Amino acid sequence: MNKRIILLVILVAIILARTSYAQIQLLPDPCYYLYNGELPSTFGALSNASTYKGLIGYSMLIILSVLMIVAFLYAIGIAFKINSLISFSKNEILENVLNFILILFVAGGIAGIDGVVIGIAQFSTSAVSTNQPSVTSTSNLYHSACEYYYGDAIGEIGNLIQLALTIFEFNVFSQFQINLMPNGFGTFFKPFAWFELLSKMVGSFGLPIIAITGIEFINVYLLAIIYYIFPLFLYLGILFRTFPWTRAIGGALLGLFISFYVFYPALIYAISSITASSSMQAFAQSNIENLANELRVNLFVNGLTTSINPGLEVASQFEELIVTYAEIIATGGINTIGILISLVICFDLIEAFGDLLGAPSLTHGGILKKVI
Amino acid sequence: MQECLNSINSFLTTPYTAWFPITLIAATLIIVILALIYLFAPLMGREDIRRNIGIMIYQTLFGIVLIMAFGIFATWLCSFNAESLLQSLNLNLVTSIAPKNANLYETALYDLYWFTNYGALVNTNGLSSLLYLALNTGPSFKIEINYEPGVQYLGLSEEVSFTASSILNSYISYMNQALYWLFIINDLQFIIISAAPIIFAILVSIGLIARIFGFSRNFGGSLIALGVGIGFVYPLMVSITYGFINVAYSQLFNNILMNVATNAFGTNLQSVLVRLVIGKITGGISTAVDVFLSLIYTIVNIVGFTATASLILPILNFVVVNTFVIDFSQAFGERLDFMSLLTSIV
Repeated sequence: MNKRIILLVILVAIILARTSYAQIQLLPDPCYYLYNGELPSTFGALSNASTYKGLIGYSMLIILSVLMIVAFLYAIGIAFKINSLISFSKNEILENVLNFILILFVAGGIAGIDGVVIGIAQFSTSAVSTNQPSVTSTSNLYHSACEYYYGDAIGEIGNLIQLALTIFEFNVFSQFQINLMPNGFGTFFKPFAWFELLSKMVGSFGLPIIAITGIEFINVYLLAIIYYIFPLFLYLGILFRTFPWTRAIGGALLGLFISFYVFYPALIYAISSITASSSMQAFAQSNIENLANELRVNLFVNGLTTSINPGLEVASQFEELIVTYAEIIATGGINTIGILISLVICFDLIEAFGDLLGAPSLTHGGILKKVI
Repeated sequence: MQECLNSINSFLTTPYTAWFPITLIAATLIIVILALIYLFAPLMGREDIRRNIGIMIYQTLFGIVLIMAFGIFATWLCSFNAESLLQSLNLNLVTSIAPKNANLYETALYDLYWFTNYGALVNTNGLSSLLYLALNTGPSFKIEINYEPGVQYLGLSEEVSFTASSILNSYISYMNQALYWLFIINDLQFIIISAAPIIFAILVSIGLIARIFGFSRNFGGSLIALGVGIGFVYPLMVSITYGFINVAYSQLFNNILMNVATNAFGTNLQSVLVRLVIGKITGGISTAVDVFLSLIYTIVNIVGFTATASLILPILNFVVVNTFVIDFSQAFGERLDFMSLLTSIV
């Protein structure tokens, strides 16, 4: 009886273990949890009715206070006949009218930002036959870009593990030793010692792959930071623009919001669509293979194998590896360059918005220089 | 920590209340002197002086308005419940160590403290040690074939270490080096955020006094901009950015990364044992490899998250503060680009 119960328990344990094993998610997917709504969107929280009312209410209050101060300054200007103060006060009245319109526009049109972001992304990808799913909302766009770069970063980690195993194999071979005399005395022979050199040469491929993986990981979480934090800049920008002395910083924050919240994901999505498109991948693949063949013929066959060490396996091994990893690095490099290009364009846009919104700190390449 | 947070209020208000009456008395004296010159200027037939004095009186009056405005602002800053506001925007993590109804400085310090000692940074550090242990665990294999039996070290020998560290150590060392550098930036932020209230109180007070006198007006404006930038905008940015990172990390850690780790150590281990019991050793080994890979991917994810937070957030915070200081100082006095100054010094 007891044996039967034990067997039954073992059977149940096996069934449970097998069922749960089938459901194991080996790779964590942060993109899904960042954009599926489990983490409440800051824009969502900011866009609710009470915040709208608060934003409009506070902004109106500030505009009224500023108008009162401006009226006071205007009176002083008239009293002391200070022309600069009079013209400053008149300008301020106009600026506040502009702010009022801006607040109404933002309060009424936050939902429109969704449309603008999607519009830019779809326009950018319209020329490419992409494999990426079409976007239907801002969170969808961020999610899609996140999945693409996260998938690529995970793929690069797989390549790194593969590379590490190759190096391990070389190290195992290089350690093989024939001892010609006993007790560690006298000479010994290591016929595959040159594999150690090969291992070091192959090890140098690790650094660019690590750099590519790092940049892609940073991009994944940078997108989340932009998605959740940058909407605040829109609100703070509007509030800061209300005061004459903080108008420039208000403009700068609005510039940051427009460049990074609206344009950056759209650009990243567009570039990832281009690099992920079947035509572009086929084109890049054939180009890389042609270059690899040229490298094989010109450098390895005519150069290394014949001149340095004819018939030695090191050259052919290294040839095979360099071609494989050149392909891997080139493919990852295209994605990484896409991120860098998008960043440069966005920094350039910030400067343009800095000029437009009167933020001197953002003009003349200041931000870009600092970041670089 | 609580004592440190409590001391912020006294740091902030004490110097300010000390400077406040001195500044007002100085401003009043200047206005009286200027008013006298304004009255006597026509008697000397100098209308131009009268015009300039008008501007100076306006500037001094504006200085008094600024002193009052900053007085109100400083009082509001100390008493404003920033924590509740940020919590309503999902930008502040509710934990047992969170201060109650905290002001901006307390909230910023708590967010940075949680990130470093309870959140992403400390967990990454802990997992790095776990990873180091996991990497260095494994058999070492040595085979030796001797030509003559009984005579040691004569013949063929091969030695292989099957620890994962022999394979992955170089990559992990890159990861650790990056994290050590990021620790320095994090510590730098701790120093700045701890000093923010005192910087705000002292720089703004001196700036307000300097702004009253004509010859030091630009300098005063720049000091005010620097004080408000480091003393208000920087804590605001830290509380927003690190508040979000803590919330996001908690969510991610609880929902996926922790689940994957639990799967790996719980169900997978069970599966490995069951497979071994029923004799499928290769299946067991393949599951063990899955467990190991799952652990690696989980740790890489956490490190990626922490590295991004530790690298991007300080840059973002410093850029916004610098932008504020440049624009605000230009509006108030002389253009001050303290990041360029720092870069030049470094």
